[in-house]
Amino acid sequence: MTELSEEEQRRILEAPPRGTWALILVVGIAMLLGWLYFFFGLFMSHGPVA
Amino acid sequence: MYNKSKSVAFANLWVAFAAFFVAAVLGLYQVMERSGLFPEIESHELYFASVSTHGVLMGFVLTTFFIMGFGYYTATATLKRPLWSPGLAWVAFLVALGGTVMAAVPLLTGQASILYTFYPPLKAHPAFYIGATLLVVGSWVWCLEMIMSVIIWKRENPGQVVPLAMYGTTANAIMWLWTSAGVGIEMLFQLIPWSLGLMDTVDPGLARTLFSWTLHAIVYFWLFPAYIAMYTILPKVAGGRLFSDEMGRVAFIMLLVISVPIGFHHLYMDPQQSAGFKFLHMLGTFGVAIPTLLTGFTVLASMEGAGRLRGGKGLFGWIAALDWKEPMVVAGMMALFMLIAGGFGGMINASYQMNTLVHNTQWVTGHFHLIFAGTTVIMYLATAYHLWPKLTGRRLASRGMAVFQLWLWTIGMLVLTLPWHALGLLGQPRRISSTPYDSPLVEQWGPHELAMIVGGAILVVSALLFVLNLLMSQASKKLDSVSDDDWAVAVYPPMSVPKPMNGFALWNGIVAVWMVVAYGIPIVQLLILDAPGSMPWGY
Repeated sequence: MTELSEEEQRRILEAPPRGTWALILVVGIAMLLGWLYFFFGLFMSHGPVA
Repeated sequence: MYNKSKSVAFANLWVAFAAFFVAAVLGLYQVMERSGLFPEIESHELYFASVSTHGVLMGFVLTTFFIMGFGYYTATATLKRPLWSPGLAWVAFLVALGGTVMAAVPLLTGQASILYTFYPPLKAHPAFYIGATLLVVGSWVWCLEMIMSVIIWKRENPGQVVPLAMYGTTANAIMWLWTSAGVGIEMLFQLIPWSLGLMDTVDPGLARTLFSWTLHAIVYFWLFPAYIAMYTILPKVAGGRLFSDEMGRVAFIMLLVISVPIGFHHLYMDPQQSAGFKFLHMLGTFGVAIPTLLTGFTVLASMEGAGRLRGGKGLFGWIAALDWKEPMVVAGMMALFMLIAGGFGGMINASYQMNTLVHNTQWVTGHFHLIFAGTTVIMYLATAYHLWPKLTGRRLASRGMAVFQLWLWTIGMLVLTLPWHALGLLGQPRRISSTPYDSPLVEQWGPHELAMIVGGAILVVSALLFVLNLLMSQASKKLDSVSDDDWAVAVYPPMSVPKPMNGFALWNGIVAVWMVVAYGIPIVQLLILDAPGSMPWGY
């Protein structure tokens, strides 16, 4: 960090957080798929309680 | 930092971590007893006394004292003025400590084995209820201290933006006043008079409704300091800046407003409330995920900035470039990881119909431990490492041990809780001391039960290393002079913010209206209906 000029530091900090967006997208999709699996794969397939 | 505030913060933190260590040891006993693999230690009475004590120590004592201690530190270090009343802060400490000791006696003698939730007709000794109430009263005094400190600071600094850490701390204090009123009413009008023999019977439906008023938002009372540390300490320690101060304020406001009127998702299977109100609370429950998503995004974006400043390239290269030798960085990233896993479990719990799949199973215990003992507590531990040099004036004994301890905590928590999720799906009920059935169903549980013991053992070792590190630091002769003024600075520090983002009047009004809508009819109907009371169970 010490090797970067103030201008470079500012450029990095002000850049859009692409990695974070990507990570949130991956996690969001995984959670949605997981929820769908639970709803259709485990809950609905269980059928009514006898 | 002002010395009087430092000593009261320090006293609160030590009570918190002493409770934490005892509770961790009890936790190991519980998983061993519950597994059924050690018949020689099986005792239903001891197990339920231990579970109750473990829950009270972790859920009420560790949290309340940590929140108070961290709050006192935050108030003086961010506002740069003494507390409103340092003497009152000591009164709060002594009242809360007295209440804790009072509650401990019936807990340890098996007269309060009610599983740390206040659900009659399970009945405890009156000393337990009165002691627990005193602990809450102590926390109310802390709330007053935080609110008054900010009010005075705003008077002295008109037009200035309240520092984010203190804004979050005050939001938490206000939220706690709102949410603890439910259990306060339950204690004063139901449990204490009932346990003293002034009433013969109790209405469990009303009690469960009142406790639900407190029960979910209390999780956010615990979580708030973890989020505050993520927003205001972690980015600086990681070598970067906070991505957005305003996003933090919005998240704190949303937590204050949304987290209280949503407690019925704990009552989905209860008969005393209607489906419509449960559905309303479900919508709020999903809504409260928004501030958590905002927090996850903002903190990760801050960490991305820090990682890129350290040379991280590509979409995910910044993660590897982070300073993984820094305890707060390890804790922050692991806390978010466990929040994602625990948050998924929460989505299943919160889904009204699908809740039947996991209701009252060991899944719920797994979810709860991931969010609380995972995300929340790991941030408490890292915050303690961060604060100790500031409070003691001595260098942390071993940063390497701190990092190792935090990794152990994460691994232990995953090894403990992932099998619990599986056990829940395999039909194992929660809150049982043994499974004395000989059926193919119970046989499936075996490997998971073994794993949870390994997880519990790892966690106890981790807890021991944590307390040792703090003790060694305090006994160390290596002095350290650290500034109290090292809070994270935002990429764009706010020069001014809209009035509602610098105060709470509007948000209190919204909470009041929402509470009337969400809890008005459900409580009034129970008061009007002539419901038969219940006789006590247990003690």
